Amino acid sequence: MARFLSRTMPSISSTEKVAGVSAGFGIREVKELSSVMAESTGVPYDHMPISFLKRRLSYIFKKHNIRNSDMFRQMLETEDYKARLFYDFPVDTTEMFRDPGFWRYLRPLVRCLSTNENINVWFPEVSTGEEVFSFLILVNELGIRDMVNVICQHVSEERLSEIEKGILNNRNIQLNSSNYVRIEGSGVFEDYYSLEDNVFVLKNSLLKNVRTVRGHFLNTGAPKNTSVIMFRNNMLYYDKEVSERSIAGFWDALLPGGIIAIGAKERIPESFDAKLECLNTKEKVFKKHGFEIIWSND
Amino acid sequence: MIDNKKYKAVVIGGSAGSFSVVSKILSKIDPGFSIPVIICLHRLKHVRSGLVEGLNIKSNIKVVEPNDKDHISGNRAYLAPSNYHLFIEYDNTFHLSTEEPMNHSRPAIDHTFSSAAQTYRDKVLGIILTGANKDGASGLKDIHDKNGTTIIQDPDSCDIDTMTKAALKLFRPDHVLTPEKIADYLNQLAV
Repeated sequence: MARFLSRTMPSISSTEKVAGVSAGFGIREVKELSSVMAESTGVPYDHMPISFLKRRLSYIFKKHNIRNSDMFRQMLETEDYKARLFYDFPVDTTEMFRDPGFWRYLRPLVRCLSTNENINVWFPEVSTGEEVFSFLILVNELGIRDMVNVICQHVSEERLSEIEKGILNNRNIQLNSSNYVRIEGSGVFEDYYSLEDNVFVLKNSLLKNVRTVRGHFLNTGAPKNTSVIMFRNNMLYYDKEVSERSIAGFWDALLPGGIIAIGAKERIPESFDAKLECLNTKEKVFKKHGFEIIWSND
Repeated sequence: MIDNKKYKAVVIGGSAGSFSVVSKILSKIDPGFSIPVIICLHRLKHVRSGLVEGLNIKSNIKVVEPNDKDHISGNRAYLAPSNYHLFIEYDNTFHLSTEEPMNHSRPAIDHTFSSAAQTYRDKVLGIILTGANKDGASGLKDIHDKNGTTIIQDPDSCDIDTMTKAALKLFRPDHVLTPEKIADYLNQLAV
């Protein structure tokens, strides 16, 4: 087809490339590198979407000044570099109280689950602390903070250390605050953090009963007797096989009547249709069969 | 002058003022239009519903918000969900992502366009509409560079022409058309 213009066009100027999809890696190279990464670290990088791997590898190569694939393979042989990869590779952009409707729905549900007994809550793959911190504020406002034990997990020791310290992303503080208004919290958001050495830090009292576990959740196994599993927007970065294995492990870990929360645009694998009841189709909250949840308006 | 390529997708991007343009295009599109239409519009991150419902009022084909890993099918329009980037994977499925905003936007049009160019190469038709920033210009150029077909809404017909003019600065599109002509063009494609 001959290209043509419908009207007179302005002169064409060159510009720097700004689009996000890297054309720098071929599919075969991405598959090879992701296999090497998986073999060397035990993390299922080889079960991630190809386009995602291309973008993240481009980002990593640029950030770590890696000139070529051979150099990357060599670097992967050292534990120091793996630690750096574990910190930088995962998507770390999240916000507190993302999807405020989800948090408004979760609040009474968690209150029902915690009636008269302690509950265990597991975050199998925290990208940053924001999701955990949101949950801690929510249970604090419910008056059940002492009854909730939280386990959060990540492959990066450094990332977990930041969570243990309650470090917030300064860049998102306004967004976090506006999301908090939307969840209709009972407190004042600014009371939950302070500024220390130019870094926003969550109040230490909220971090009580939070335990961190280093390692990939598929390798470490799941904590037993869990009432709530928060896995929102994590399956986006895995293929169907790993998603299925993940949910199978979560189902085993959940107490009867326990709940799993996934991202608003994720799906639970069909093989779990009969095992998990969908409590909310929009907010994607699912319940393991066993006990009925008695809703309370208190 | 209409080409006879067998397109695998039409991708449309827009921002300020683009809802009414997309609505107009979808209201004039042939009900039997069999090529998937993938739409990425800038939208408020905390407003998750209303846009699909609004487009469906007049659209001649069904408009849906895809879930992650959904297969891409014909005779459907897909709208990028709020607060997620929308990518097209090599196995003709959608991949959603919470990666950082691009051009202050999530979903970012550049991401959707560039992934369409990578996946469909010359078998994709990219259309950029009215908008107030430069998002989409680079992605549309990626489609152009892979020999896909590109259409830019006539800047004179735009509410805000920043987006279309940003694209025009980068490359020569195949067509510059008004919204009415864009709908006519789509209906004449070989499907």
